[in-house]
Amino acid sequence: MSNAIIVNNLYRYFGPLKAVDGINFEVSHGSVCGFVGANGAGKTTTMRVLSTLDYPTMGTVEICGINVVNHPAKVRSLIGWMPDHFGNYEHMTVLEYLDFYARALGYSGKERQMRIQEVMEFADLIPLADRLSNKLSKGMTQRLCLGRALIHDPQVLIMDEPAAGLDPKARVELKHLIRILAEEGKTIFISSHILSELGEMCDSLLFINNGRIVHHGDAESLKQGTDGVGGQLYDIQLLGSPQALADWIATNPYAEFIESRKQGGRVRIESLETASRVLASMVKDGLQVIEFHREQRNLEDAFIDMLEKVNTPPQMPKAAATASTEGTPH
Amino acid sequence: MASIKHIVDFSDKLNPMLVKELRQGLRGIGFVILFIALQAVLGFILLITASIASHENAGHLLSRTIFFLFSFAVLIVQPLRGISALSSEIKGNTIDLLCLTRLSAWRITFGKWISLVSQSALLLAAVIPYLVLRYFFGDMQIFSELIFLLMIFLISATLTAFTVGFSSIKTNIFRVLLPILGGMCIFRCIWQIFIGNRYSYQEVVQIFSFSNSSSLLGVIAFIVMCIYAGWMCLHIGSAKIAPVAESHSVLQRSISLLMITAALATALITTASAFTLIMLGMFLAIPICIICLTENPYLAPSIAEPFVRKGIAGRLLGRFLYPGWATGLLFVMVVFALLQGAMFYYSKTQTSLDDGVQINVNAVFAMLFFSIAMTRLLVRKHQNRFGLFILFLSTQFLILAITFVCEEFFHQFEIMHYFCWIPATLLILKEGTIFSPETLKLIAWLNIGGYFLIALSTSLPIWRQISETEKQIPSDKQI
Repeated sequence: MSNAIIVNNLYRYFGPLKAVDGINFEVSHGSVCGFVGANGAGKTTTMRVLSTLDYPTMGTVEICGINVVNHPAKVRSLIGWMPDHFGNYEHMTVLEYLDFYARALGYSGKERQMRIQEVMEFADLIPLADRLSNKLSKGMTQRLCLGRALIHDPQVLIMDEPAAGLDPKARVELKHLIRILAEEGKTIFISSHILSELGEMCDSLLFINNGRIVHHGDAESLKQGTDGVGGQLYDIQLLGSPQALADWIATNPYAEFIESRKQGGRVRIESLETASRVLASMVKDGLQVIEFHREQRNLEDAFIDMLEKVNTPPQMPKAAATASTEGTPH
Repeated sequence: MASIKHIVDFSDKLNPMLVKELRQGLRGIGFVILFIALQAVLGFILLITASIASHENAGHLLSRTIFFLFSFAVLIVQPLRGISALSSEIKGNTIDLLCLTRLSAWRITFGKWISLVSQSALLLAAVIPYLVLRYFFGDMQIFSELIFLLMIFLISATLTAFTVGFSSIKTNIFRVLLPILGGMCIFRCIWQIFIGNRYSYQEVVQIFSFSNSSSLLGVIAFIVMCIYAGWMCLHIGSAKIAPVAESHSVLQRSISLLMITAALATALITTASAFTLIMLGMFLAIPICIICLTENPYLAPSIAEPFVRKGIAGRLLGRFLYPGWATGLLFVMVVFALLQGAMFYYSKTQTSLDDGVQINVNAVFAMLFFSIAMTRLLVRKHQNRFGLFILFLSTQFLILAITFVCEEFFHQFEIMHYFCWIPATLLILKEGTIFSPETLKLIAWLNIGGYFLIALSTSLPIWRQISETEKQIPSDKQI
């Protein structure tokens, strides 16, 4: 069975602006995929193409094996879309709002009532049934929007910044609802700026920058730094002067000194193998190492590292650069 | 868990958009105030009229007042409420949510329109009792006045279609200013007919007595035109919000071509003058030409598929009917050829059309091609094609006005002929003596040919994209 979302060589240009610049990724059925990127990175454009609301300049997008451009109506029956912002209607209660969307999605009679009842129970909207939909708080509005997106029981849920502007309580509630949906087997494609929450919810994370995918992997590998992005951070402590560590690192091409701490400092080392060699060299060179442990990065750090890495022009590795400098005649 | 109540205020069979709009519209302050104010004013005026019932014109006065108030409500207020019909959904980002339901772009736009028209129908129903009471004042042409009332309702529906359709346009100046200016013109008209001059009201009512066959034909033609104009306006709105895989151009262009052909062919069965028919043809042609020349040129394979499956003939037909301004260029040329053919036919069979009409027709098409050529040459990458097209169209009239004013101000200072490459100037130049009619016709043809070729040459990448899209689809023979 093919993946729930397949994006193949997707480009979307708006005149000279390359909003999405040739991205490829796949999201498997029943998984939760986080979509991360700075403002203007191309997240919303990609999500709009996935939701059939925009069209690609080039490339193909398939939802459950159906092309979004050629068969938008079929795709729409499979997806639920939660935009980052939307207005509500005047003079319309929450119940009437859901009733309208249920009608618009083709439900009638008892079936319509059943679907509305189900989503109102799920999103805890029953106490709000007679409230005007444009007088709700942000958290209630997001719950209403989630309820609306779920009326037709879609297989794939596309959520653009659902937690933006929510207070902590509403955020926890929303996270709880998303978890339940994931457990029910729905494929969820979600963008957010709150990376720690994405890390807890998502099976995989997609990082996008300037319209290009710069990373696709699971949150754990990103935090551990085993994905090769930005290296790994180590907390090293020594007996004696903390300056000794900085001085030693300055002579070592395989490690990078990040910041000093009470008895040592934070050091970035590219891989596990290199770390073991560095530790051996330190001991060999007479440094009294009392602590050498790998730090777990948070997702924000990983994201910043990622952006730094992709925005920095390609450079020679430090080791190679050092070797090259040494060989240069003065 | 508590169960929710089932909402049964509207039947399941109704368009969901109509249900939503009626729920909102009937609670909206705009309609409630209008409805109550109309009742209050009509009731008050009825009482006053009753007190002067012995006056010989009391009945007429009441009729004219009822018609004026009703016209004000349904020809000005109700259509103006349509200005924000689609734009409010676009601004509120709810249009995306609507498009993701099973509602097509047409059903969304139609639902918006029919809801406003239903509210106008409520106003019509509310006014009828006053007309019945007015009957007791005597001297009433009840049939003619009822037909007149229905015609006002029809015009209201058409104007509402205009504002609803154009409410999808991004440029505020067209979306808001145009209806407001239109509303002011309509106010002046209804004031003139119902209040300003008592005889004009009687003359208009007389038309609807159908005392001669031409007035009946005229009314039928007017009804057809209103339906066509309303349909076209609603399609403009729905085409703007529709996804790219939902083509509106094929239906729009086919029906418009059919309507234009039917209008021009009326000469075969009626005694209508060639001038009237050409003007009718132009009235039908200009809106579809503007729509064609401002469409998004993206061609989704699903739209090309039925054409490609028909082989070479299908692909050739697609070159005229696929969505996009590039194919629109060819379609406009077909419409132009149709009008030229009709003018040639009329000149052979009827008294020949004067040169002025032919120059006007050519100038109008040259103006359209000028606007698309300038859009392509100067602001190719801008997304608001419709706004830019109208801007270049308006610029021509602005240049025409400036040169005209200069010539009027400085009597010996004739400069307009230097601007004959701006097609709008031909409309005035034909009144002067600098160019002979033959020369002006030649200039008009050169303008048409030149601007058409400029636009066509800039459309080459689009033709390549169309061919590539077609190649992705296997034809029937290949299958």
